[in-house]
Amino acid sequence: MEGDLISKKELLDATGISYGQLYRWKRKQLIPENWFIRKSTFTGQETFFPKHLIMPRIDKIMNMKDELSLDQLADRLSPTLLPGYELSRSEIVKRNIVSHAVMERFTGQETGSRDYSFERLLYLFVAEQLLVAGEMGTEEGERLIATLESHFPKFQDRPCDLVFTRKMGVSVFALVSAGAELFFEAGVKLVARLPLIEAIERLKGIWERGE
Amino acid sequence: MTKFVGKSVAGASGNASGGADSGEASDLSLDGIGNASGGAYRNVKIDGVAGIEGDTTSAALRVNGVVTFRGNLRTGAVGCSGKLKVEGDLRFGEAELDGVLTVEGGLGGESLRLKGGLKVRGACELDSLVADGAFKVGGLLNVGRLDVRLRAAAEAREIGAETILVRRSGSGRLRDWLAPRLAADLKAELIEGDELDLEYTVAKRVSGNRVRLGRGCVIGEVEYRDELSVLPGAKIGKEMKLGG
Repeated sequence: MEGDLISKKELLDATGISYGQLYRWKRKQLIPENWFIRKSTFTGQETFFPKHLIMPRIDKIMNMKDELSLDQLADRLSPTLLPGYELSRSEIVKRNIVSHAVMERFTGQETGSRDYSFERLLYLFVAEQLLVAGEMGTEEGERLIATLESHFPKFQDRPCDLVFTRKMGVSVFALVSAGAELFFEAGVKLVARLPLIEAIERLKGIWERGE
Repeated sequence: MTKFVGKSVAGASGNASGGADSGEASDLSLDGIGNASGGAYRNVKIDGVAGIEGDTTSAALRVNGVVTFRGNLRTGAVGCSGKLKVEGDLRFGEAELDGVLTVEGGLGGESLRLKGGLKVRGACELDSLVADGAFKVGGLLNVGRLDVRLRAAAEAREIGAETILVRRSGSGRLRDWLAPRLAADLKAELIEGDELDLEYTVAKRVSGNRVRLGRGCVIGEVEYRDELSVLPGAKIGKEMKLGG
């Protein structure tokens, strides 16, 4: 359940990390400031975290902190896109970031050897994921990419989720703030809810590995 | 009265972002009493009393005197003797200060070695804070290592750290009898860290892995995971061992 909060104490107990580590990771911006939620409880002021965000994040940090420095880790995990990085179509396909078929289908009409920015690549990457999973058709893919192009920049660096729903054969795409609770009317099927921060992080990982 | 000598600053217009575009940033050197524009500089060296208008970025900062930055300041190494005030946010690398540092916004940096006073209205984040004097942090003091020798009252809303060492400055008993520093305590609502070694600390709640509470401590509630020592002279309300 997205709204679930976990207290700082429960978090340390559950993950085995120490206060020192938690505060250090906060300083290094591995854990965003706005995930620290202060609430008044009967014992006084306590700090809580969104459980669905903090648990995977701690897990990731624990797994990656041996190979990457904390600063590198912070870059990797931040919702910021990689500015100024561009890849050509052939590079993209060669590195298997996006398949040739998807590139053809969604950028086929673009002629010449233009380079693709991280942002554009992200949209194609997300479209590919949904197509490969069989959850989306190619016509929907075009609308997905159009939706991302129109609305993703509005979030700037704030994490957001892609919400893909269908009712009676009509599909709708939406972008919503990460972790926001959503409730739909009867008959709506939530086909997919993709935290884009995960796609960004995976894409950064693939991108960097080829560097 | 010393004459004010300021190097002219190419392109300075009071906002920091404009400065560095046209190639290399210049140095700013002020001697005497006066004002200058903020901007992007390489080395900033101020000897005297100065006000710097607007946001400033620099590779290094050296202050000898009384300086106010009326904006945000982002710099690398800092050496300061005197009074330094930043009316916005302050970001630095390694800083050494003999005097008083006042920050109206938030403070973030690698290390601060301080002899004197630190006052931050917002939050303060440092990998290391070694202080001989006092500090007042309005928000969360988030430090890797905190080593403070108190000469006057210090406080922070909350302190989160890896290791904390708090003592009163000076040789202790004889000094206290000669000039009792009744107020030289560290006050915080909450202190959390891995290794805590505290004296003259007043807090509602202290929580850590290994906690040592010495003379002058008045703690409402202490939680510890591995070890707790409560020495004579420390007053504790409640103690609790955390499992897991």
